Amino acid sequence: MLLELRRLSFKARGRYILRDLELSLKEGELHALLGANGTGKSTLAYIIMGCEGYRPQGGEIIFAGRRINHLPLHERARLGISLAWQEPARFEGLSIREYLGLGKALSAEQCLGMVGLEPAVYLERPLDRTLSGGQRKRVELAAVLALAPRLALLDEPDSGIDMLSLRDIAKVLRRLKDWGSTVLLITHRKEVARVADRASLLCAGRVVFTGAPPETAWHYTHRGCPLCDGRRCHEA
Amino acid sequence: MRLEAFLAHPALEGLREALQEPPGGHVVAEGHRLLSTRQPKGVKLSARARPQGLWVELELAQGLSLPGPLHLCFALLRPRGLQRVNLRLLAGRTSRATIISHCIFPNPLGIRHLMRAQVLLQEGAELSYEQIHIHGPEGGLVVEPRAQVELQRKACYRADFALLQGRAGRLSIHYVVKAQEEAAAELVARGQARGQDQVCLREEIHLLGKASRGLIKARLALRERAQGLIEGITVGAAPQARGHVDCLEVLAQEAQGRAVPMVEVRHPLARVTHEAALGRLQRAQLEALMARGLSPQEAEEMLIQGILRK
Ligand SMILES: Nc1ncnc2c1ncn2[C@@H]1O[C@H](COP(=O)(O)OP(=O)(O)OP(=O)(O)O)[C@@H](O)[C@H]1O
Ligand SMILES: [Mg+2]
Repeated sequence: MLLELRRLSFKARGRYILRDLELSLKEGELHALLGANGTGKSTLAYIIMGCEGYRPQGGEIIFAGRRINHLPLHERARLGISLAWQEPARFEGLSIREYLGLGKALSAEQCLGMVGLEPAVYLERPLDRTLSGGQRKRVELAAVLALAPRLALLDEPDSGIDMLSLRDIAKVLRRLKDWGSTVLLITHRKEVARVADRASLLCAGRVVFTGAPPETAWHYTHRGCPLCDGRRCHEA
Repeated sequence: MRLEAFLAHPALEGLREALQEPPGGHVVAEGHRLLSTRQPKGVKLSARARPQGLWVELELAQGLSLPGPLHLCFALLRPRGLQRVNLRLLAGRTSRATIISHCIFPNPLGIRHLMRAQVLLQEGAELSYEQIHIHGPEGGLVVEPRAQVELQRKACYRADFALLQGRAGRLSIHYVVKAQEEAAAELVARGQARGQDQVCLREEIHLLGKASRGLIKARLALRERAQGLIEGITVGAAPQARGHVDCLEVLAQEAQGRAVPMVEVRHPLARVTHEAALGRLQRAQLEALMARGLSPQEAEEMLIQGILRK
């Protein structure tokens, strides 16, 4: 296992967001994470990345056999963990070329090409509010691709992206897989989850089902949760 | 000291390359000694060194269009000392030129650099005046650039002060521009400070002539215990005068900053606007950069250089 989360709990403002969560990712696997709005998917990604304010109160985060609970974000990044944010930050005065240049696995041009953005048009553009939401998300995905990380946490790379471009995302996922990257792919779309090796379903801060993507997707779309039929039985 | 020996200093690499660009002129001084002057065609250049300071006068002939930038270099390579510079600049009617002033203090422990500039742009002249400050990491310096700039009808002046490397020390800028009819002024100042540095950027544009234009843009990044103040002042005193003041400060750690855009309208048909923003470096931005492998310090530096560039 590359990543093991054991009995992970996270509380914010006195309320459990994640509770005794268990999840394991095999090395090289593409693992989809499904779940309704507010079930804790992004929170889980922030906790694995080590974002400020997201220290779990209980449980273990084991990465490549090592407990990393205490490591700050940048040290986790150096171990090979990276995150594409659901709502990526904007930067004044920083160009797309500079942002993508932080990764060394692929050139900025190649990465942009892979996410369907014409390098000649986009390379020198600033990463500020002049980019549309969908364009900014593609750049975010490209930035993670450029790193060829050991573990890529992709938080809804497909939200805000038009239907046609879903193919670009599948291409990026395949490339990461070819490189041997392990991917945790957070998504709401069945058709995107289908490319995964396995899929898990989150309900009220717990993993309630892990299995083949079609089966997990079926539970998600038909019942919301196999344990509580979407009524969130786990909520305190 | 000979010019070659002076230019061999590692902090002067940028200048060394700049001086090789044909065919611009230059004035190079270390402390109160002149090391080299070269007068380009169409420019009357006089430079004198006295124990009390340097006197440099530049006169650009009417209609002259200087093909390359004219470089001025005022440096103090020693850790301690005083440098006073008195600069007079006259740009003749419709002349066009770029002047780049390099102020270089590589290891300041007790340095004072006092600059007094008087600038006159005659009708239709266009001048771009860039000041590149390169300071060492010690921060033991007092830097006081002062300029009085007069713009006659249709003259166009653009100044850019940049301190992108090293410590600011105690930096206090005061520029005053007076613009006559249809003249345009753009004052840009970009600086960064850390440690116990104290920075004051005070820039004023007085729009005295009809349809004159002014833009003040100040960017300041403050880290550690540095303190900063930006004062951007624009007075609109004529019909159709248009001015804008744009101040931005970013702070990290315990740094403190103030931004005071002051706009004043003395004619009912003048219009002056302002914006000021003051904020901490954003956690989300820092984390996004660190998630790509940068250390906290590197992420901070990258964000700041981005802000200073824009
Ligand atoms: N720092 C925090 N403080 C308080 N509540 C938080 C914090 N972070 C997340 N939450 C709450 O935790 C819950 C899970 O949020 P999260 O963003 O992880 O959901 P999600 O599954 O990613 O949802 P979506 O599908 O909408 O992206 C939400 O109810 C949210 O309001
Ligand atoms: Mg989310």
